[in-house]
Amino acid sequence: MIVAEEKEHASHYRRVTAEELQEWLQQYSLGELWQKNVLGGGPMP
Amino acid sequence: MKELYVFCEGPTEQGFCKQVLEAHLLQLHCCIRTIKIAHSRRHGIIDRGGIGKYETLRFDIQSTIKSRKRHPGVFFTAMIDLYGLPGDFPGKSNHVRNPQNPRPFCEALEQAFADDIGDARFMPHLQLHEFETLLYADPDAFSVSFDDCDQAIAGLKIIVAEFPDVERINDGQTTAPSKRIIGLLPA
Repeated sequence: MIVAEEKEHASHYRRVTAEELQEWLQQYSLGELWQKNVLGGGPMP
Repeated sequence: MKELYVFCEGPTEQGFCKQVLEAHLLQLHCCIRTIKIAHSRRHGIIDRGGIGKYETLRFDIQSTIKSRKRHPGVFFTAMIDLYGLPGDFPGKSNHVRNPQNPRPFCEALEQAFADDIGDARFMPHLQLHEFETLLYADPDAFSVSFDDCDQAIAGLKIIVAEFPDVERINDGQTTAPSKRIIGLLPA
């Protein structure tokens, strides 16, 4: 899974590791983690 | 570059972090990341609706801290309203709120919150009463988003002048900071 984000007017791509999500996935789905901005790559208010 | 994670009650607080705090913190070589802790699920969508159980909030904070352990330049805080905290929030059952001077209650809960999280990089913050309090810090800023609001701004300044500091604008059903703004500036 790759998360794309805009930083200083450029696209930044980051690969998300299973290790960093291990804990989170016990409680939330991937979609929820995106909405919570845990993953990043979402529309910001 | 330092990093600050802010656990936000909802999109309003996230927007504040992004639009107001980010530019300031970047000057101090700190970037900001927000995580929305509002938990209520409607049709699978995480929406605003208070923070629900403290356990859920605690899980979010601990998971984030765990994923960033051994990073001394990473810090954590929260933007959560004191108003409407769940009953199981640390310190809530053994401290009493004095309506004439609510700040000690707020500080006691912040301390209990920090003790419960148990990481020196976590800086507790509870918004005395509610987020909208911060909007009183600069009533003139309302003119950025509203047309013809000079009268409302004057009204807000009168309210500000009535209190020793804006965080003391009280939290009654009709006199809460947000309710007073709605009274002066109906959408």
